[in-house]
Amino acid sequence: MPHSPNTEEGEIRLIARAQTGDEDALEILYREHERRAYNLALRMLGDPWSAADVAQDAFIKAFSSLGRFREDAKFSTWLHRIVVNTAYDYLRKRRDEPEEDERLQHLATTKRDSDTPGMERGGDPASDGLSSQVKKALLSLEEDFRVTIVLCDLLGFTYREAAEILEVEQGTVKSRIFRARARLARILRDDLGGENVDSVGNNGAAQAVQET
Amino acid sequence: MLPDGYLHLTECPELTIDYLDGGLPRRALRAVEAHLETCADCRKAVAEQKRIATLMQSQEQVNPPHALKSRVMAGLTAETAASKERYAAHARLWARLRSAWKVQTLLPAVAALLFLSVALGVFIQTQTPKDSNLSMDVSETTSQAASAESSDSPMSEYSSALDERGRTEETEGTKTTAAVQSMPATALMAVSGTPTSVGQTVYGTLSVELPPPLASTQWLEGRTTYAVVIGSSDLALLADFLRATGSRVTVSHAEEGQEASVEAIVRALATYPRMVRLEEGNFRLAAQAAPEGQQDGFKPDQDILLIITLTPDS
Repeated sequence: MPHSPNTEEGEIRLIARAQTGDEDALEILYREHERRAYNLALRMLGDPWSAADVAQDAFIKAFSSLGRFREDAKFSTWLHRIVVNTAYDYLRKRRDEPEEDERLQHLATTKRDSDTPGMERGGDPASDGLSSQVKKALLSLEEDFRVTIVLCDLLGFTYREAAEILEVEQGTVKSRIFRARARLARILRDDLGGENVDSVGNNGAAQAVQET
Repeated sequence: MLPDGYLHLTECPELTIDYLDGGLPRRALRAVEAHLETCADCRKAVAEQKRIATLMQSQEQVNPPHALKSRVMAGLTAETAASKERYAAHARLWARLRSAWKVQTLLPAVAALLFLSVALGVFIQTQTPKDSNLSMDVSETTSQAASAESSDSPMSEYSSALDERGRTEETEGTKTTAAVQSMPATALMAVSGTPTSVGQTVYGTLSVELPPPLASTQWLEGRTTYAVVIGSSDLALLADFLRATGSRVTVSHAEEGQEASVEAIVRALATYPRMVRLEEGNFRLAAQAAPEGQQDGFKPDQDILLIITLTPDS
């Protein structure tokens, strides 16, 4: 059967197949969404091991409860809401069990490719695509701000989609984006040792951040 | 001009974001631009917003680890196997319940509901008498049911069916059998509200406390209320019945008085053929029969349609 995931109809058909347990359909769904879902988890949690755990849990949750998915929602919205909620749970657990967190942090800084099958692609797993300054700045944001700016600015969800994923008003999304960017600007400026970020061009800012 | 009471654009985050995205209508856009021409602070803030947006939007996404996919698929297989086992256990139970409660002919589903409500209610009443309100309501409903069912006594049929179950299943001695046998004894039913109008209408809250084998199973963990439809083609049956008879079934939240449409209920049930979680709390089930002469199209396949609220042990 020809598959046209990019149309609404194609998606509905694909999900209908996946709901019957069709493994090909599940794989297509997985492949379509793995990248954004994983990056969402990664940017919320900060380390690839936690991100892989959360993404894995979220996909399993979503796929095993596909029966509860209703056609009036977009699959992507539904899935990413599960990722967000799973990540929030993970973060909460981390706060409640700080020893566990330390252990994970330790693992995150000492584990290497050979210990984690499948992590070898891309070399050092600690280099996860963001400069350390941007990463640090993002992780220092409050979770609600972080998840919103990650969804919209890093992953390209529209404000409307982000509002649906987070189950808040669009106005709330916009206001969070505004405040998150203002905070990031301040954090990055401080991080650059008082250098006036305003005088640096867009690419320059990224460059300056990476070089510091 | 900026919106009333605002001196700076930055006091209106939404407006700023809409401006940055080019989503402002012409008049608002002119107002914002006019303000920016005169306000250095806001110009600076807008420039900062743009810069951070560009910086963030230019960050590349990384590839998920290779192993993630196989971990997901393996986890899904394990989860599916576990839930199939849970499902099978419940399917066995429901099958037994169904055959215990099966009746040969079914008039409108309303009658079935009444019949079950009354049968259960009276059964409980005789087993474990509750408060006087309950008794009164039940008996009121009984008289309605009696007029709705013309032939055999529903009560005796129900009782004999139960007795037979008890006998035939006794030797099996499985957990599920025990559950079936102990179910009526632990079932509690309360009928609240009063029938309204001339048509057969019953408002009732059915609450069944689950016997231990069921209550301890995983699917109930952390959840308190389910509606369960018993019947082989339950959903189609419900939908057909509603269409054929023009009947109306509403499930409403007893406490908040929220009503769900038939479509919403059917859709919700369809996503979970056997069980669906509605919301916590009690639900009121109301079924209203269609005017006479419109009931001919209804062809039940001998299954009883029943929506019950299950309350697991806390």
